[in-house]
Amino acid sequence: MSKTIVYDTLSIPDPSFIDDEVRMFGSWFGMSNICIFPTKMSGPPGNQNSSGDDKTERNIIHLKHKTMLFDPKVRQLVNESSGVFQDLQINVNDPTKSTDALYYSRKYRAILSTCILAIDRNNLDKSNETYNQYKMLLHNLQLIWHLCEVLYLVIVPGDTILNNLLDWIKIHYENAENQASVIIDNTIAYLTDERVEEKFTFYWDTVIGLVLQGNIDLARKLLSNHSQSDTEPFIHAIKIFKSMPTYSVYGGLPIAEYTSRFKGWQSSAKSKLECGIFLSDSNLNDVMKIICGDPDSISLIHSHCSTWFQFLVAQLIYTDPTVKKHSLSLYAHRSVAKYYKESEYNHLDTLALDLFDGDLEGFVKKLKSYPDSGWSSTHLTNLLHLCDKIEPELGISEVVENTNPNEQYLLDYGTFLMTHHSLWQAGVTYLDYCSTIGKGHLSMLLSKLGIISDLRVSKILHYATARRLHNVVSSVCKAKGILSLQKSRIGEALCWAIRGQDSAFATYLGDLYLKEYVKSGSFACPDILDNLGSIVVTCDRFMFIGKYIQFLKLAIGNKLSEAASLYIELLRSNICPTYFRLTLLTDVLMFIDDSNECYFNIADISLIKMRLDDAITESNEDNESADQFLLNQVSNVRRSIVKLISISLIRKKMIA
Amino acid sequence: MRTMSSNMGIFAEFIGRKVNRVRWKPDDLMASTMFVTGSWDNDDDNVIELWGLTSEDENSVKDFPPKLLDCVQQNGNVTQIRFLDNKFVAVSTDNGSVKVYRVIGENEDANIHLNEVMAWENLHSFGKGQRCSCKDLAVCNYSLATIGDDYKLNVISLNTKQIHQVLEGISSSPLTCICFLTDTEVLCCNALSQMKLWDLRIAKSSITANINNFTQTQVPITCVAQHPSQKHFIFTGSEEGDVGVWDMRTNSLLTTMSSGDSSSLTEIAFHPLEPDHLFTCSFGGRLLQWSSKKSYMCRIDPGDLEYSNFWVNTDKVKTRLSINDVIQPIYMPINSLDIQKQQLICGADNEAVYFQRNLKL
Repeated sequence: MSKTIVYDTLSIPDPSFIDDEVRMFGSWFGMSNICIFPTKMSGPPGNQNSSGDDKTERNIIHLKHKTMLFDPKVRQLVNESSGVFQDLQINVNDPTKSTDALYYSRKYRAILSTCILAIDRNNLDKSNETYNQYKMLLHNLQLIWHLCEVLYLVIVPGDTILNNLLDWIKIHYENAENQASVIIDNTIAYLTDERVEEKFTFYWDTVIGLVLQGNIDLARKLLSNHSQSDTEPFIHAIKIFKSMPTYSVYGGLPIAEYTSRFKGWQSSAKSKLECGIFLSDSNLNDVMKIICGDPDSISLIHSHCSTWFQFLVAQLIYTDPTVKKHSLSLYAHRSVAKYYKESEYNHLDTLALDLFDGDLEGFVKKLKSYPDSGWSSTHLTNLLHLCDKIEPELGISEVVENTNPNEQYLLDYGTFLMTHHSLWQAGVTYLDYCSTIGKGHLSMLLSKLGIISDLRVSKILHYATARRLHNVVSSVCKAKGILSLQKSRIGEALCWAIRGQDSAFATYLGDLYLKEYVKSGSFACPDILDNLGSIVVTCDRFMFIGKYIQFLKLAIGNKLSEAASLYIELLRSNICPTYFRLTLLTDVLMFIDDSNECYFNIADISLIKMRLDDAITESNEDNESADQFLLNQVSNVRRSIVKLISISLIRKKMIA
Repeated sequence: MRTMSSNMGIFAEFIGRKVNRVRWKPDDLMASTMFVTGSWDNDDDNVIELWGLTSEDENSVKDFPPKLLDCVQQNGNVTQIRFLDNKFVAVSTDNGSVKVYRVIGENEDANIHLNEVMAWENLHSFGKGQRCSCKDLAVCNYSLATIGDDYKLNVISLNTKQIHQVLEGISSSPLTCICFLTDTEVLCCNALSQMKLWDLRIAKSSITANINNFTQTQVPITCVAQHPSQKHFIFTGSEEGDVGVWDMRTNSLLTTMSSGDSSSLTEIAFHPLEPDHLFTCSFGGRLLQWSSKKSYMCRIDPGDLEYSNFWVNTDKVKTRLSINDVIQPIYMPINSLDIQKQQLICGADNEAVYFQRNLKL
């Protein structure tokens, strides 16, 4: 069963597609590009004449996948994360190593932040719009990843999640904290009696920002910097700030106890608020309203939050500080409804809502369409899967058992990386973890990589060999071999044949060697032929060549009796190719010398005679290919056979 | 950009291009603070880059992250980089070119940069404009020896800036690496596990040794190194991850060693001052240190004569050699390594350069 998923839709503003009769056709062009072209469908027969006069221009449109990941500065994200990914996959199966999902999640986030830093370093004046956009994308990704980590990977005793959520918000919305330190560090104002709140127009925004992040200590510090800090309202406010009970999981206070303290603290603050103590300073009054959880303050909180989840967390601090994870979903939906008047969420909003909802499957599916070419969905899904947070979909698991739910993500991402001229090696890493389908993809993609350099060939062969993709090895070796042959370098071609264990190609090359020998009387590339190695076992032709060279060596070295037995062996085994047979038979002349020594017995001689007869009949049948020179040798061979027989007869007589 | 591996004090820098070669700029007295990287497989955008280690203030030691000092475009994948001395560096590419650059240091110019002093664009070629790779480059006393896909061995003298000698047809199968044994003897290895020793003094292309490696298995020799003090020992790395030890006095294979990592070795190098330590890196992403020195725990007997003949004694090699990972395996081919004093640097296909400042020797 396959589902069609629409990842992206784009419209092509080409006039030729507007015509009703024109259909759009497309075909893959390379691994990541698509060619789109208009084709006019043949209309009714009457119109056919007019189609010939069609002078409108027809474009072929080339669609190219453009991605942030291939930017030189973002490439480190791909490379570094592939290392972490591999590390995780290996360690997850190793019981001796701890596979702390949190550890790996933080590692991935660290990679994201180093990448953001690298982008910043190359875009100091923030003038490069593309980099600004990349930074924003990575930033949001980091935010959402961190939320996922807080909600699903961090284990909180008692499930009181607020402190973790506050940490999360503080890290990603650091504006208030930065502004606060600007104000506090400015000691001149303090010394010169200048009014801090007038010098820094963002003073109250900062105070509210800090209060909304639960950063009460810093907010208190700011208040005491205020020019009116020694007046009654401020003293009260600072006191209230100071006495706010804080909850910590390991603090020892049971939740019920803490809740009652918090309620007490808030009601005392509320009574002061209701008495109108803070009315003298409207800003302070607003801050205190927030602290008291006054429903009137919601619009104020709203105006200080840039996202609905910031809004959610801000409200929780003063309404339900011991909120449990499972009730977050309810609060989340309320906050969204309050934050947005109409449903105008962006991608980030829905992703966060899914996380608060506990709908990881939905989250992961939406993450897939995040414009990072699948980086986040691949890695996060993989991590969540490995720590058993996502179960395989029920529908699928019945069909194929043990299907890895994130296999499709790995497959897509791996295939996508394989399209890049340099990052293809990282793609291999991901395809390795995709069971059999991955192997199929890998075998296909590896053989499709352009073999543009020897360095690349050696890498492709390395990956293919390690994964036992013999078809890739042999196809690459064959291609290289043919290229060598085109440069008429038989030795090099033979190397590739040996490398690819390609006996058919080796046979072809062996024939070239032998034919060359027939023509010129010597072998090319002696250094290779002296050292044939395993190819003699896998290829008959080279078994023959090997033996024949050995025979020649013996014959030249005047070890004729050994040469003779090898010679007979060659004739008997019949591995000699037909075109070489006469040449081989002519070699019998080598055994005729003045010493009148006979190296053959009668059976051997009759074998030679028989092979000669075979050769003659064959060459008669196939007249064209017969070499006239060799045919002339037939009589010589005959004469030497006669001589051999006579010698052996004489010797026999002598012995008798 | 800067990451530290958990326990060993290794720094990594991602430089945006796969690294095929990396070399320290030699420094006579001090630890080097500059290195050169050469990239590969990046479409038409392959470069050599000069990097300098940086320090936070004047007093602290120079360290990673490095600063990019200069970047020079190359017309192909960088196949080899060798420093001739502490100024001149030779670079070869798989387009058949060999170039020599001079590092212009801080005391010569405000900007530290590379200056091209010599270039041979098509030192290796097939004619007809076909791409022909310069496979490897060796240096010895201001002489350069290069081998290429055209089966030529070129010897260039840097003093005269001329090609001194050309040996043609030195092999019938692809050449892989080259190494100077003495300033007149050059050893060439090929893809059929053959090594040929060329004597540059006597008549051209005379073979003084043709060693047949591992007889029946034709595993390509991928890298070669000479023992820094006992010059007759030659170490070869094969495509199956073995290290072969050869005695060039007898032209014989003494022993082969294996680390258990069976992927192709990409570079093999001795510590220049501590020859008891051999370093290899491989396609399998491992950087190994092979130490023949006795462990610190043992008392070293100064009169241990056998010690100097360590490599001849096969039993000893088998029992006393210890092999350790210098950095954690990185799952991507490590293509090159270089050592200077206590510091090691290596470059890999994950577009990163790794730096280890304190080698354990």
